[in-house]
Amino acid sequence: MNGLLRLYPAAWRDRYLEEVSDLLAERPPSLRDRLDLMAGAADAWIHPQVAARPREETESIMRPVAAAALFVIGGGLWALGGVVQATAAYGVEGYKEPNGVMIVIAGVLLTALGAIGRAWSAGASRAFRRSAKAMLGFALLMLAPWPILAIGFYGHVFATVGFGLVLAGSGQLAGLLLAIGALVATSFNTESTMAFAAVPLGLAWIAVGFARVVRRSTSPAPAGA
Amino acid sequence: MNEPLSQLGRFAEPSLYILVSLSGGPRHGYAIMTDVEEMTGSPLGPGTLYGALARLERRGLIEALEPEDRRRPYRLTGLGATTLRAQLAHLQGFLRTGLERLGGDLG
Repeated sequence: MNGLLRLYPAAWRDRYLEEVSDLLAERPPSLRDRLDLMAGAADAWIHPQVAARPREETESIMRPVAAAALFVIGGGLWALGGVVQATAAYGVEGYKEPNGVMIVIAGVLLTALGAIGRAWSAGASRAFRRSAKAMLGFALLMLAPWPILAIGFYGHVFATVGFGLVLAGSGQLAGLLLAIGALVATSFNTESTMAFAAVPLGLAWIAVGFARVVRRSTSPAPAGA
Repeated sequence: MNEPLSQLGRFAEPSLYILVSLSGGPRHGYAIMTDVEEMTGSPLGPGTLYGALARLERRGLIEALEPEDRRRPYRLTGLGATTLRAQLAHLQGFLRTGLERLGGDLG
């Protein structure tokens, strides 16, 4: 691709890139042509003539396998964090070491990012996007100190229930496990063995991730591929 | 949507050239460019050409045909032909007036 054509909006390139590249290959651009292309690019941004295709009809923002990997790794961290926190020793001040909490937060962030990737893919519904956005928004609140962290945690978990139900509604039964796991995770307590409550949600995320990979690998190849 | 070409701003003149070029039959971008250069004596830059093509296509004055290799020919639509005819008639009147006045002045 001629470097100047990169200046044009994506929708314009989708429509005209191939034929303009062919034209430029046939007639190498002069300095005047290059300036004309630059002015054309500015015009294409200011007065777009080609409608941008909705993203859901074009490409996903994340490869499905990457979203699945985030679910599996994030789910693993959820489960690991729950176990670490549940078995953590009490410190001199009577509180448990928060190492497990840190691991859970890492898991929350990764699974939320995976949910965003999954929700911004071909054919995803608006409900998918809303729940994924809520998951990520609340996950980011968990980076703030207490009590905002707690608001972030419960918000994220309830948003995960919604995400799981939407997933189940779209035919992925692992989503039901996710919704149940998220409900169990509302009992998560950093100072008792109830920290194990994070484990079912972690395992559910792993199931969702693997279900996605298995589903892709067993679906028939598109015609003409 | 029968908008006069004058509403296309700086793309009005290139658009008229393109419509005249396509009135001789379907052409792809490079062929339009060389044809316009032969007709007018001045080259049409690629940015201007595709800025005008996009506007004409959006307004339904031209339509893209199936690509041949990487080249995509364009052809005049019925609306495009009507618009071009009206535009040329307007220019013809303008031309006649100008020539008459010149003749009067000279005569």
